Amino acid sequence: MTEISRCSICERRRADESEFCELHEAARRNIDQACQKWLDAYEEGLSRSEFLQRIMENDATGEAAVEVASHLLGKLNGAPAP
Amino acid sequence: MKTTLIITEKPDAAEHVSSALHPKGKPAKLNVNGVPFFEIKLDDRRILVCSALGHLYAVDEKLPTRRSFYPVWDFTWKPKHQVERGQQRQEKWLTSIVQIAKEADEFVNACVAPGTLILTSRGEVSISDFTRGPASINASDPEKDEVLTLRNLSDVPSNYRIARCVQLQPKEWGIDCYELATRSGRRIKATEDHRFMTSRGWRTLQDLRTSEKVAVLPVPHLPAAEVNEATLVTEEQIWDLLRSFEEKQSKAPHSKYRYRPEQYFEAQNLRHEGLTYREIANQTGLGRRTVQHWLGDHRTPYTVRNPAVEQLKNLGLVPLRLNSGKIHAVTRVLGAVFADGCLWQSTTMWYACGVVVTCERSGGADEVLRDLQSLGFKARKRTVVSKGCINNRTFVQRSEEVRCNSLALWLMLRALGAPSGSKTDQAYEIPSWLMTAPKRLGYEFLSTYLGGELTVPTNPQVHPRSFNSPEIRFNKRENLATNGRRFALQLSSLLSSFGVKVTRIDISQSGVQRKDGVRTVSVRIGISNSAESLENLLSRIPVQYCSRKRIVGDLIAEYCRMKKMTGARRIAPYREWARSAKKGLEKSFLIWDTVLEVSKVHCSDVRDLTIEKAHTYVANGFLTHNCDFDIEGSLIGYTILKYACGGADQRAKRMKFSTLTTKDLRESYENMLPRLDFPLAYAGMCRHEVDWLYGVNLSRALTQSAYRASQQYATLSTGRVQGPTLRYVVEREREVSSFVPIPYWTIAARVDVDGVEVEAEFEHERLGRKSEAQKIAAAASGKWGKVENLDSKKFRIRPAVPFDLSALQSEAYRHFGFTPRASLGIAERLYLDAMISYPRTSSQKLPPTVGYENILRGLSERPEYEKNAKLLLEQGGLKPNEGRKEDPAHPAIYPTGNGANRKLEAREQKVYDLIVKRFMASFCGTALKQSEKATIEVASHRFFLRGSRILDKGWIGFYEPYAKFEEIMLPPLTVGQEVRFAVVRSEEKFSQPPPRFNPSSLLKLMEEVGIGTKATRADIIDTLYRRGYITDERIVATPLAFQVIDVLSQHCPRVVDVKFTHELEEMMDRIERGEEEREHVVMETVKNLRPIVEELKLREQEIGRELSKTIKAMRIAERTFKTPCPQCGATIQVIRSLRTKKRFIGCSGYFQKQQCRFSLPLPQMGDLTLLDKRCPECGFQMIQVRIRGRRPMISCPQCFVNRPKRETTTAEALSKISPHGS
Repeated sequence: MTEISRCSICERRRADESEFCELHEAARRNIDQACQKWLDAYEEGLSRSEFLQRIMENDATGEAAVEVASHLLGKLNGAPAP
Repeated sequence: MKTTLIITEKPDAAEHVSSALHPKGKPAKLNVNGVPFFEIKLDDRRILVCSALGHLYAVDEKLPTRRSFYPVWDFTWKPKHQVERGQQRQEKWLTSIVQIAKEADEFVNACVAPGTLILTSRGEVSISDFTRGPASINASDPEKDEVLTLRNLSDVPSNYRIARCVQLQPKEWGIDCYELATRSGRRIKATEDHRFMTSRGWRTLQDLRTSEKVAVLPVPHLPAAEVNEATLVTEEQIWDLLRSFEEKQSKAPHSKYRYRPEQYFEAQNLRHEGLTYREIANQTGLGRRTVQHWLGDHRTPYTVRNPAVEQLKNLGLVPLRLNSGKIHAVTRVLGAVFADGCLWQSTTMWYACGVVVTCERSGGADEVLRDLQSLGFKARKRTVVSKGCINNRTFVQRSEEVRCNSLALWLMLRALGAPSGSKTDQAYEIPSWLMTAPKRLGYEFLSTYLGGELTVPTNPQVHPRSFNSPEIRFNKRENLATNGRRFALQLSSLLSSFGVKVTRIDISQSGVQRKDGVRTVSVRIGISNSAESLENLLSRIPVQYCSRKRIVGDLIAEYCRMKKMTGARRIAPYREWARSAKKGLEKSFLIWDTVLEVSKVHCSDVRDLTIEKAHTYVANGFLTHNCDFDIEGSLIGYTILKYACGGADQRAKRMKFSTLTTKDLRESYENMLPRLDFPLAYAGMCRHEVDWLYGVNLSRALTQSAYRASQQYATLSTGRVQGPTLRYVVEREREVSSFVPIPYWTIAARVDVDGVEVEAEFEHERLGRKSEAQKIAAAASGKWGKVENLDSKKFRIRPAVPFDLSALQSEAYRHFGFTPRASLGIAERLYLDAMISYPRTSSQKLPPTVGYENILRGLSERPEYEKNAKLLLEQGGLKPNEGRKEDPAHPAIYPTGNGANRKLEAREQKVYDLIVKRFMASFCGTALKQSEKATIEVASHRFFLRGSRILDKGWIGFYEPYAKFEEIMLPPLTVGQEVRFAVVRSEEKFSQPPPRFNPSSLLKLMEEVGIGTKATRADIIDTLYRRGYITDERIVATPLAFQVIDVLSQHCPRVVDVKFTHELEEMMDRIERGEEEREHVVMETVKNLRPIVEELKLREQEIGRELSKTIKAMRIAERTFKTPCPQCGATIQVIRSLRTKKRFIGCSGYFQKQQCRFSLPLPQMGDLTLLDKRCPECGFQMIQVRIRGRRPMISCPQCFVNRPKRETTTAEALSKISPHGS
């Protein structure tokens, strides 16, 4: 039986060439796309960790996106992923 | 005495049929085992009428196996009560039918003969050319899969897709064929039951009477298409046009089209030779930064891949050849540009250009829009009210304008020879390629050119059977008169190729005095008013893009044709003839022709087309109705006759009716067809069998995998409709779950107008930068603005259309929160009480046969509807505002006007009220609304004040409280008035994720994509809830749904794809046409499914592990509280005692070291759900208990324990369990 590689956040199967499953990979892509738009919008020099923190606190952010943001923030801060 | 048994699909139909067949309308109502049936005793015959109760038979496995066993391939049809649980009513029904059964009569089919010509956008095509299914026809050219027809009588003929074509031998079916001949010489052969549009509505051919009016569509004699592959527009021509703007380009530094491709390639070559950027710049004359930008970043400049050229290439318009599928639409647009349209180009931005076509308000703009969209361009239509002044006389002109802002379209039309800018002020000619192109293109060009420029002939009083000569007129600058004459000569030459005689070309001084003082001449082309020339002009080149001219032109052409046939002395004067030919069809392209004869003919081969949406087609000029297929109805009858009536299906007849009126029912009884519609029934059987094979095997595979992995049972299911529906929900859930909001800012402002504060909206809805928003707010706050403009518009709101089932379900959800399934259940109960018509309908049409007046009279007896019903009755001329959707089997939902036999429940009363008010509203006039807009400028920013009010309530008054319009009154304002911006602030907002589905919107989506039927969609959604795939009213897909969709997408993607339904539809079509055997389709299904199910079985353990893990996690989550234990902080759960089997709330800490003994009691009856709500008093998570037949109880378990004690009975305690909620 072949070993199935699992998503770093949930137990689902990883998407191709990604550390996440399809759902979390989609969330990661959305975060990357949104990051530039946030930086443009605020102009005042928003750091990536601030951006991640703010999207995590936002009610409109989807559940998977919050999980990915938290995972990325953990990585940025050098803490182990939750 | 012989006994005839008539089996209807539904109980109410049985009642109506028996009443219609009884001479006095009073059949005897009997019953067997409580199942009602009707008896009619005639002189020579006894008729028994009983009904089925939907499907009484269903597919099931042939050999009895365990319900968990799979794969299963052998199946048979069994009584439904043996297959499904809880079908006792069906069992009783079937037993009674078996007892009553003696004989049965059924079904009919309708078709037209193969020589018939069918109107298409390619001209008239023989019906025998449509011998195959649509999928095989449309592969290369979608136009070949369409016919040109009308959906409603007042529509402009449009393309509609052919759903299926059928070929049958009428002799085999025992159907007679007839030939219809009309006074204008039109003829058609068709089967007796084929329906034609008459002044009495849709009537079968057999029912047509001599001298009766039938609707015909004057069909243009389109020139035959010629094979010509010459190229009209090449890519190089487009590039040449682009390069002609070189001078302008250099003035537009931001232009995307600034450089030539050669310059880029030259720079690239020089770089390869080892030159530096500076050297390349010096050598080529390009800027150094440009060179660096191109070569440094390895970017390709726009010049090389020009977006406009790329767009034309992608749309297949470059290179444009004479045999291109789009050439007809292109030529039509070109004709319009030469007439009332123009190519425009901005003076400041040379690349901002496009096409504008102006049409009369009578219609035509939609045709332009359709053509532009078919070419692949985005265009928009708007009504333009323009004030003009010619020779000091002011006038107001209302027209419709179609605008397409596209450089690509502009370039293509320019390359084809269209003039750009004002046509009066420049010299142009008819493009030379058009003069030598196939005649069909000349027709397309002239038809739209004439639509704009032709003055239709009038009928003078003194010569009532003749017409004035038509004219084509246009203006030119005086110095361009020669060019005007040349253009007129070219037009005459084109017209003469269609047999149209030009009698004169006059050039005279135009009476128009232009503001710039330039003198103009008027060029007039006079066309002969001889009958032949007029007929050629109006029937060979019928105008397009102008409905008024087309309608009048068709009428005159028809009159000229009739005059030629009957002689000038025998035909009525034009105006008298036209009144009769157009009575009731004033705004339609159709005209009435008179039936001369309907005679029986021999016909060995008949064909029929089924047209999607329109359900009509134009055959030999006649507007005819396609066959009505009711697969499920056929199958219900077939299975009962075959299995319950001892194989009576072979000798049964078919009685077919589309309305339950006495007249229709009697006619259908008298004209019964000798046998059942077997292909239709076989197609229906096939669908059930294929669905069963997929559903049973895949559902059992899922269920068993999960069970074997965890030894815990959970029903998991999927199917042809369930699979794709769940996939839509899961995909939406993915979008919502992975959504990341983007910030934006809005400007909120309040304006002080003479002491009254009014909300103002900023000109831009969203601002992307915080600083920009703050700057605007600071600039406007506390400042005085000036009213720049005041605008007021009145518009009419059309009445709501009658309900089809999905509209009723959606409206009931919106106003009362009833789920689609609940609404259907209520509507069915109202229907069984004879208070409303059959609710499972997708029609939005109410034929007059339902008896509007009688219904309103019935409603007027109820005090709540009395006033409105009487108003409508007094008003007279009842005509409902119908919607577009049609259902051949049933009309839209309407109240019958009968009173209730019992007291209606509150929910039933609500739905009934909704139906009655909607029905009455559909007969009312439009509502008149006025909107007001004031534009205020402050600190170079514009703000708007908007107000709206209802001037005339119209139908809204009848549909209250379900139709509401908020009125906002603006204080009196004048242009130039100064107002103060009291508050202006920027507000930070965030984009929102797409909305989750609710049961109503999911149902609507299923309808849009065409999965499920009106009867099954609500049940499918309910099943998804029951299986635990979805939860909540705002539908949330559970992890189990994700897992199931993952498994199915990986192993059996077919079952979650909507395409599967479409493939099955196609297979069924082939069975109906006799091209495919039902058994073969089923065998193919088994062949496709077998390896999938075998693989699932092989990987059962792996799949089961994943599924069971999810199920387990969900079950734990379902019974775990989010509130921690108040004593130890561990999680608390719903636990069932092993000893007493009772449920209670316990702490997970009990099993750990601390042995926490916290517990709370729970009600022992009903389904328990943990809610997301917290108790407002103690903050504990609340629960909901649902007991069948009672209102759900919402309660806080902690407060329930701590409540003040008093002595109560157990029943009281249960009913009063809710201290905080309902």
